Amino acid sequence: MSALSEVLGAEPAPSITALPADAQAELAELIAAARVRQSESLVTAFDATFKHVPLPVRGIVRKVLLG
Amino acid sequence: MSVNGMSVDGTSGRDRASVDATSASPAVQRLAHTLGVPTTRLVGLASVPEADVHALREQVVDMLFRADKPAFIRVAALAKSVPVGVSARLAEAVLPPLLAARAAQLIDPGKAADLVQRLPQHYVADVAQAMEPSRAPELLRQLPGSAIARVAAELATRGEWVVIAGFVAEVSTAALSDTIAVLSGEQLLRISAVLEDTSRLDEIAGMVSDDQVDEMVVAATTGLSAEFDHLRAHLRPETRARLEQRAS
Repeated sequence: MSALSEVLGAEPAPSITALPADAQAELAELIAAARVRQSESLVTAFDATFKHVPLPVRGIVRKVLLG
Repeated sequence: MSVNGMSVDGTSGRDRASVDATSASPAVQRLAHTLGVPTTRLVGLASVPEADVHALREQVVDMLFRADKPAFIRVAALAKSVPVGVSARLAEAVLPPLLAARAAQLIDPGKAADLVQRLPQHYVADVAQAMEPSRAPELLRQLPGSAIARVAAELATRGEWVVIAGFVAEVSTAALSDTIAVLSGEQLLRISAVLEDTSRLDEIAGMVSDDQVDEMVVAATTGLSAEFDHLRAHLRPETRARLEQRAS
């Protein structure tokens, strides 16, 4: 499985798998970077939620977000 | 593909889209937006058919949603658990627009529409920039056209033509009409140039006022001739005739 297929979790179109290997690798890197950015953003948001959430609903927020 | 491209963060719509409006296909521009990179990073896709770039972007959108779906589900569950007013305050205070955009796909559309209308315009525009309109069609249908128009106007001031274009295929006729009314001819020309799906161009052209057509003509003579030609080429003859009549 190519790096691109692996990061996508799916097989891209033949016209994309026919691109030069370095172009495919760079595309895979860009997609992986977008995924990392999203995950980092999520962690930051959850941390911030607990700091900012109003006291009356803090318990329920903690229960919903952390289970 | 450029290996040493510019920083992927903090690029505005003007950086990403307008400069490249006539050099990169709409599908490549939307993929660049989804990845948060300038279109120059995707020049290697120039030889790939637009439909395949579109399919690749759909795969990226699916992957990004799948990757953190449990977290999006929890954010959506939070929205269900607290009053809408509290959700709105929380969202604006701590929820990055990207996460709000993903979670919006999982929230009851009626509640999400209520939430959207309680949030400040700048935040909703931020969320719209991160949103995948085709994944939240019911939410878009439940929002008043005037609310969609206000967001579009805000996005237009930011030069987010690709973002606005992404919503065109999903909004109702009434919302489209309200939105067109708040945009200038020049702005409409820029949006039409980056539409992936051009099937509504004639409908849009039918909603445009004579003043807006005149603004398009002026814009065409001051740097947007390629966009004007693109629009003209995608209109039916009877619609195109109106443009040409105003231009003559």
